[in-house]
Amino acid sequence: MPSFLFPIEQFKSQPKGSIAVTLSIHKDSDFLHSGLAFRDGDQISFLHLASYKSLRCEDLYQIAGDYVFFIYTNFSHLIKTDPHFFRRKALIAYLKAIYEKNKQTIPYSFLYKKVPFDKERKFNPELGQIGLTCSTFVMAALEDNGIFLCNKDSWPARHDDVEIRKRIISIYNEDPRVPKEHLAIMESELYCVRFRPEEVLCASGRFPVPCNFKDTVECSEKALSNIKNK
Amino acid sequence: MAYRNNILEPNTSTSPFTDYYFNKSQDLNLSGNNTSNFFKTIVSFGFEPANSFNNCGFAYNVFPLFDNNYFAVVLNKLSINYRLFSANGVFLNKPMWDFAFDPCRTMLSDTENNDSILETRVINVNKITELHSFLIQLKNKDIEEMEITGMKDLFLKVDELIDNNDFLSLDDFIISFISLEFSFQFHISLLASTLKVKNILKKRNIAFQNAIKLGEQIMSTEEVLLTLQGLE
Repeated sequence: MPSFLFPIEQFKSQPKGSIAVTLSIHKDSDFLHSGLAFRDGDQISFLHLASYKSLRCEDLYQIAGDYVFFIYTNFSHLIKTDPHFFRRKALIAYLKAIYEKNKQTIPYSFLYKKVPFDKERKFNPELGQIGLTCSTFVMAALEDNGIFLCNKDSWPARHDDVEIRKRIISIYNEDPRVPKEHLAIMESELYCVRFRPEEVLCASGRFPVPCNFKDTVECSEKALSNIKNK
Repeated sequence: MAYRNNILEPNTSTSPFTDYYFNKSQDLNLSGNNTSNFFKTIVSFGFEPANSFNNCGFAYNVFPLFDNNYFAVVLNKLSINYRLFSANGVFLNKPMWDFAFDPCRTMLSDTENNDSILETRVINVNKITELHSFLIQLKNKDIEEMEITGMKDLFLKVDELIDNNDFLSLDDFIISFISLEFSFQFHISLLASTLKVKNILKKRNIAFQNAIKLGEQIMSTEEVLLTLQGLE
């Protein structure tokens, strides 16, 4: 494991107010998954957009066993700019508030341009976002707090993202919660830029942020090679 | 009706509106639904002795309007004790009164004589009570064991005010928040929670400057500015 990536078990030893971006793979799928781990007192939580209109905040160590791979990276920006954990605690409070307001509001879709939470901190499609992915939820939550992980303009559209998106759409095709109109919009977003979970993880390990796509490439490859070795 | 128990107390007895003052109240809207905007600034105008209220020598003059709403006149630079009773005899104690009018006082600008600007607004006692109670309870959570819970409550309360488009109350809320001497930590939370509406709020920058001062008591200015990065 590269020195900047840590198995999730080590997050237990982090102090109160710690926050990390995570990368995981659930036992029941082969999709990489992005989320946020944070510690409030003795409680360690995992906040993630699990699927269409399903934002979850779970006890990290109760669900960690459901994942075959679960790592985090030190959040370099917060470590360097917030040595006393002030900002991180406020960020945790924000994450808890946004979870309470958006448990079942955020659709799943690929295109990410900007924060989709309105002034009341609820997901609002009128702001121009149809939905989020697990990765862009992490980015949006941080951007809503003035922390921009990725220089979005530097991210390329890649053809090999299309296949995984088609698989995701086929899964949602079977999901009665997802309207056909929404699936059509997802289809129209097949070729847009994708912020992959491993890239968002690696961006959180960079300082300063926002970082460019090329700054995440090496780290992403190392993270993926660790997954393959599992 | 107010009863004066002590001769030193200001006269808070009610006086009727005159046409003169009513015409000055450019933004006064008594006919609409007032529930979403309890702190309504009506108008600021120069103090003119010839047209002053009966008891203008005192700091505050309050006129019951409807329900629990009061039309209040505050004279800058005259901070004296006062008592206010509602028409039903409800006594507003000093902390609550200060809570209501501290924001009002800060909105007043000095003039040549340093005492000649009046600000008037409609105050809703229920709203004052609610915000005051909320901030006092929140203050109890501004301790290490409860801070994240408290900050989450702060986020939700700010969201509620934003939800109601109650930006005047939110500005008042910010000033009262500062006057209650919340910690640097809670200032960060307040700044983060109001980030989306920073261009609408007039008092948010005061909270930012106060956060810098508080932060400088516990770390270097450079560290403070780093910590607050993105919350300007």
